[in-house]
Amino acid sequence: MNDHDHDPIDDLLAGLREDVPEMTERSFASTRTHLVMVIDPPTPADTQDSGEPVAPQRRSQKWRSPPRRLAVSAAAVVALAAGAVVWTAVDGDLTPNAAAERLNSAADRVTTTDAPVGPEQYRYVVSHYWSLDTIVLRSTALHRLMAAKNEVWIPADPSQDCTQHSTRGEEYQWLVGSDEQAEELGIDPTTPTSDQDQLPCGDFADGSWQQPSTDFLASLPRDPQALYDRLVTDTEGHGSDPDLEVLVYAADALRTSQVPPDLRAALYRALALVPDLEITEEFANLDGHRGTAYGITRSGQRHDVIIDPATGQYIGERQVDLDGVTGVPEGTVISYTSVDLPVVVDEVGETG
Amino acid sequence: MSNVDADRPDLTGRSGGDALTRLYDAHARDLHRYLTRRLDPVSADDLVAETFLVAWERRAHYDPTRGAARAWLFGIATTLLRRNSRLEARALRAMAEQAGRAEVSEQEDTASVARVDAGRTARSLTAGLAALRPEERDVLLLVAWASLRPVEIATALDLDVRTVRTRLHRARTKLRTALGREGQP
Repeated sequence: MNDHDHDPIDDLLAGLREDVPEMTERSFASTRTHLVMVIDPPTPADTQDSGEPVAPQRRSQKWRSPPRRLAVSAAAVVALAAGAVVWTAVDGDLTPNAAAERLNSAADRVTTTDAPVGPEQYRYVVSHYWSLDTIVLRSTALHRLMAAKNEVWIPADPSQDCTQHSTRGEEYQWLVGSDEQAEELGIDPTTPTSDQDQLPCGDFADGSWQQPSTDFLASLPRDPQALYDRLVTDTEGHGSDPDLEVLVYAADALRTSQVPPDLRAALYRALALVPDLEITEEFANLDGHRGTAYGITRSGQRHDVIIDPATGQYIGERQVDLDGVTGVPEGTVISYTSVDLPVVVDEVGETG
Repeated sequence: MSNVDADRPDLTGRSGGDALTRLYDAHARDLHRYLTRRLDPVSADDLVAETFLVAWERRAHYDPTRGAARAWLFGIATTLLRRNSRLEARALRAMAEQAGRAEVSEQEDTASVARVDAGRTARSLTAGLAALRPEERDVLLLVAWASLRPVEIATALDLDVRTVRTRLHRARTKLRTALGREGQP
């Protein structure tokens, strides 16, 4: 907690519009009934099949499935979109050992130093994040990948301010649906937002894998086994799967582009120790950057991290819905983040 | 640990549907109240229903490690509410005007100074809220009316925490200015 978290204005606001009517029991009950039916709709299969229960997401397929024609056209749109990876096959020939070998080799190729930032200069880091945006109205579900861009200018002197510029919604790609369909539902599909902040760099790094501070990164072990053990300890009790969570935490840190080269190499070697990690694509293309994809599949979804095998550069990550559980065609990439190679620039606003 | 699990259930497994129904039981009324305060009870009915349908659709995106499900649900509701932001601003302006009229009639009735002050504050706050940018109003009211912390809002709205704090700071400054103006004799 710090002073940002509470303000006297909040107390005044807490008293505003306090006397609104509560949700009626009728509204509560009818919405609940509707929800339960969507989650678990009664189907003929329920009465015939008294053995193995069918997974709920399968049974709700009827509610979520777009018309076939739409699904196909959406697939075509995404496949054509420049730089987007869509259908990716799991390569059955490659064993987990191959993944470990390749990760170690990528670690060997990590350059020993990042480009130095001069006294008056900035390191410019840009990441592009595409995530699934779902619009549900009555019985229609539209899905699109929505773009967000995050740019940070980090000064050489860490006590100075960092500048961050973020934009969201400037670009999107429909997976299921179209602008016309959204408009028919009364939704304006284009609602871009942007923000620029300038704040002390150290303010919000909290020493976690998600928001690593310089001290936190310096404190992590460089020995792969010790680093892997640390990841296992830190992820304990988090997430739905221990192996996947190790991958997720490592990606959280790598994504920030703040991880120094020696730690980056150690992280790759640590990931080589994750059971079930496989090479899922040899030449994955993320926003035009190519690299090897290493992934773990759990609950019908695959999480990949993508690393340039030639330079050891971290390229990004993606999530693939293999079974279509989110309502998109099977095998669709439902989110991805690509991180550009950081560059050194002379002033804020410059992008190299 | 059972509390943590209930607050952060795994929605992707076979019992994901049950987990979401439990979240509905625990948070639907709370969400409804927040949405009613921001819009009206009828819109809140629709938005609560839609929030949970979207939650079911997007259950694979809920990451228990990133935060409690309650914050995630408020994030969905707020995103859905964004479509109504113009409606909300219009309603807030109307309420501010109404509060102004009530204040005048109370003064005529020689009501207590405290009540007049409270009425003034409410009017200024309401007018101030109406004038905020929708994204500023979102973070401010998620803090004030949903008791979420900036870091939770950042996760729920898919924003950087710095962005959340900046918006929060701007929103509070604007409201303070609005109150200051009204407070001048």
